[in-house]
Amino acid sequence: MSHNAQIINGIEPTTTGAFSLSTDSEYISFGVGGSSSYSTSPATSLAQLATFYMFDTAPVNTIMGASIGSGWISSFTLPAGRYHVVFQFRVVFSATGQAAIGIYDAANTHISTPMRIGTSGIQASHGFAYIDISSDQTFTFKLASVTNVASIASQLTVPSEHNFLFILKVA
Amino acid sequence: MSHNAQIYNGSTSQADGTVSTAILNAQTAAMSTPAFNGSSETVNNGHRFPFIFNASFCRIATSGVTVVTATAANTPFATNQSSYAEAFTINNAGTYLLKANPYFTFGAASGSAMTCRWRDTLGNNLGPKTRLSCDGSWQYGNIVYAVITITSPRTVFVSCSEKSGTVTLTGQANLTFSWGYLQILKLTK
Repeated sequence: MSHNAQIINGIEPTTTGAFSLSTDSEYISFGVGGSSSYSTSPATSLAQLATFYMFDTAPVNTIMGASIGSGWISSFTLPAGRYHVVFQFRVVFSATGQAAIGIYDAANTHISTPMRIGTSGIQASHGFAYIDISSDQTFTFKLASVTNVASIASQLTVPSEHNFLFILKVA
Repeated sequence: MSHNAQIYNGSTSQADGTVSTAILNAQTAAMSTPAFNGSSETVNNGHRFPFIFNASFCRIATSGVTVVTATAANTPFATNQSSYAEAFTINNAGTYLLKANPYFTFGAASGSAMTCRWRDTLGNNLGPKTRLSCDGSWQYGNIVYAVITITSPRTVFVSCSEKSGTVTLTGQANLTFSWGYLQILKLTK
């Protein structure tokens, strides 16, 4: 009998039959309020459906098979599974306006509730998503709706100081 | 081959070969309150947002979290601090998700605002800034997140800064604390 016939969550036992399984939660945490001007990001536009970026030089990723970059990033890739996602952004306005930012899948479908802020309540806000996928997929942050968002140069360090992403694998 | 040869984190499988493994070993502390102590208190930069600590409104499943009683030095309270917490000491090593929903009232001036973020008593910023503000008609609360990994006890609190306009902890009945919320979620075993 081969001990390798028994595999749990992709983990094979040792030759003595012992499994080493983690009971910790798997998560991604990105964004701790770092200060970096948005003009140093790869962003080229703040129009509707433009890619939006968040900043962290030392993100934490404990989800096996998931990937996310560091510095300025706009996307993340998750393996098959179910995930709870919360994210936060803030932008600067040039006049009375509003902005909504959401998560888009590879088919450019908006799959989250967008975080939305406006000039009157100038504050960071939060969006949420429940992702249930059967294979690897990459997701991207995009501006779902914008009115009078200031230029990239005028964003200064406001986006980086307020951005946050937390992904918890729930199944 | 004996089924007991299959060892999962030190536990053996059942006779039928099944094994119970905890995927999420989360522990939670949550707090809220429907009432304020009645007086108006001005919030200033450097203050810690005070959470009520009352058994009627708290659910603490996390062992190893110690409440730090509010003081006049660190909170807007001149009196009646003893029912409130200004910080929480997390005693056990591990990784935690910190989530709070502070709520202020403002001096009715559009544009009044204050920034909050999680910090620790070592002087570290633990998470992003978030902003609470007023548009002249509505007061907006917000959520403050942080994820921390500690190897020794750490005292954390929600720090207030970047105030503009008048910021108080009351002024509209008891909304300030009835909308407040705190959760500490342990992410590691």
